[in-house]
Amino acid sequence: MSQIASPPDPRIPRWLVWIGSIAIVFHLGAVGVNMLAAQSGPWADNYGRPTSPPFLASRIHEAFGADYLKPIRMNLNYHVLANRLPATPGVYLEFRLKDETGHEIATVRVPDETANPWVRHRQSLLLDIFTEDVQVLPPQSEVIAAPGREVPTVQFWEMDKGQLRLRTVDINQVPRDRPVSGPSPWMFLFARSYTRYLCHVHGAAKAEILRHHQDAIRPYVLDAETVPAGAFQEVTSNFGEHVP
Amino acid sequence: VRFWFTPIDPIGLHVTRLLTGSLLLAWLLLTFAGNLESLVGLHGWVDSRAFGDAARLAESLGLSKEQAPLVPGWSVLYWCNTSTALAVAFWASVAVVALFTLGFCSRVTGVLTWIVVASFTANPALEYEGDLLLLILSFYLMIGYLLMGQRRPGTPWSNRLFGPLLAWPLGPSLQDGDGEPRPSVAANVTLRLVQVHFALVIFTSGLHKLQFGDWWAGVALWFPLHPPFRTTLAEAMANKAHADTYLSLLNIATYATLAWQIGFPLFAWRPRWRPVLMGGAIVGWIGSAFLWGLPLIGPAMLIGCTSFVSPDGWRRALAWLPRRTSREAARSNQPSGIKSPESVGAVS
Repeated sequence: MSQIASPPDPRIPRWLVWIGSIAIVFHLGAVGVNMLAAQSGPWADNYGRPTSPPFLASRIHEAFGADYLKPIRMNLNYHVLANRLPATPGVYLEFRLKDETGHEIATVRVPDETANPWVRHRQSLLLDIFTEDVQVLPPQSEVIAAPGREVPTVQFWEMDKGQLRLRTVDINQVPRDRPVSGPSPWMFLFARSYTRYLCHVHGAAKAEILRHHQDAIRPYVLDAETVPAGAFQEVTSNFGEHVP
Repeated sequence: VRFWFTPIDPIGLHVTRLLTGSLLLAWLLLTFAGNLESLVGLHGWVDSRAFGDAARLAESLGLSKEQAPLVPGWSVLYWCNTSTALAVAFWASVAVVALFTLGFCSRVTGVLTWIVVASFTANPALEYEGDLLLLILSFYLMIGYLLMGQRRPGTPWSNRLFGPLLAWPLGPSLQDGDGEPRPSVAANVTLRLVQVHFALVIFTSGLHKLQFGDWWAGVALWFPLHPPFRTTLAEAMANKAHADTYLSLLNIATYATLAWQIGFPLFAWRPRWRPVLMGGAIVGWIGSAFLWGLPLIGPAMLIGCTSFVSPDGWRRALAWLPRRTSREAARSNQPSGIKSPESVGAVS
């Protein structure tokens, strides 16, 4: 070992080492505590609620780390979506753009198979919210509207002519003999926003939105003697027409 | 203290900057060029009205700010109210990142590059884990170039403020006075921060995978190999004839992925395990790009892993490049007095 032609920086004073050490410990400590403060697992507790994050870690994170990590944009706990992706269903959206007379002028598919992988991936991120419907539960007892008000309504999917279509009923009409599910309000929020964008770009007046959905084929099919008919088939859900 | 504050040859920092800058340019140009309005415009895929609706919806559902899905972070792009302003901001950002990549006034361009990355990753609707690796790399590089060379006696104020006009690879290394690399504490601290942060990310992500049955069962890689819409049931069942072999191979690949991630902190700092470190990163890149269709996370992870390469390792590798000068080659063949990360308590 030899030959440093240029001398190193002057020796670091002890106080600077201390300040640097404290800064490093605080920074990496905040990052580490944030990772520990993640909500545990996809499982629920005994009462069906999502399992709480570790108490101490989440308190320390809220007290010290959160306000520091957020502005420097390091506030993710690295329990990333990609880890739970394997068995998530495939989803793509189809927007049938129409003019004011209802004549179809264009069809746009999201993600766009012709876009480059970087853009296609960003489009697919938007669709994460469309992978899982929410269960629509009937009320435990009949809901009676307050004077001058109406009974709240809910929407759920019903199969009609090969497509799932939205059925809107008052909450007392939710079927009790079978489980039903419907789109989450977040799906509508994203779908409407994308509709506004597409109508603006294509000069359309409205758009009919269809979600194509297919469950991931699972490896048990290699062991199974038979697979139920219709399993893993593509299902189309019609969100109806939306005006920007 | 030795782990963090031993001066090292800054070549590793410069190479990390060059690789990160190149990836940032690819990310900006391939993702945003031609799609600016769609991705970050006020009337894009998720427009300003959607953000307002989301805030109201979150409130009506009683969600906290942390639980609500559309809470944007800060971004300088919010000041760009017109398409022209957005386009100007975008191309200025590309120029800033290109200059930082080349080593031009790296103190200033380092800070601006981090602001660019933070601004273009602010849209929560399009938030992606790979973006966070870019934020990690750009943040630590900013810190490194802000600090490097500040304590060198006789440094002119312009250099302290802006950094050298041109740093490696177009100019000499940041602190060169006579053509030899000057050891830098800032370079070591920066690379250590990158290393430790990446080790935490990879280790945590590995443990998180264990919370899902498909990873425990060793069949997680089945799903990207048989994606919905592109695989028919008949195609998947065609593997039935050799199901045992097929599932065994999937098990091995899945558990190897888990072992690499969870064991990462144990081998990452050990020079003898470098082939495992780099091999795993390269396989991860290929897998994430071709199996999962994720173009960004693989190269970002690979850059994080290259931060573990010692200065001597980089000198030897660069000596192989045809355009390197004979002086570089000669230097790489001489034992250096500059300490490499492995020699300063790497596993401490």
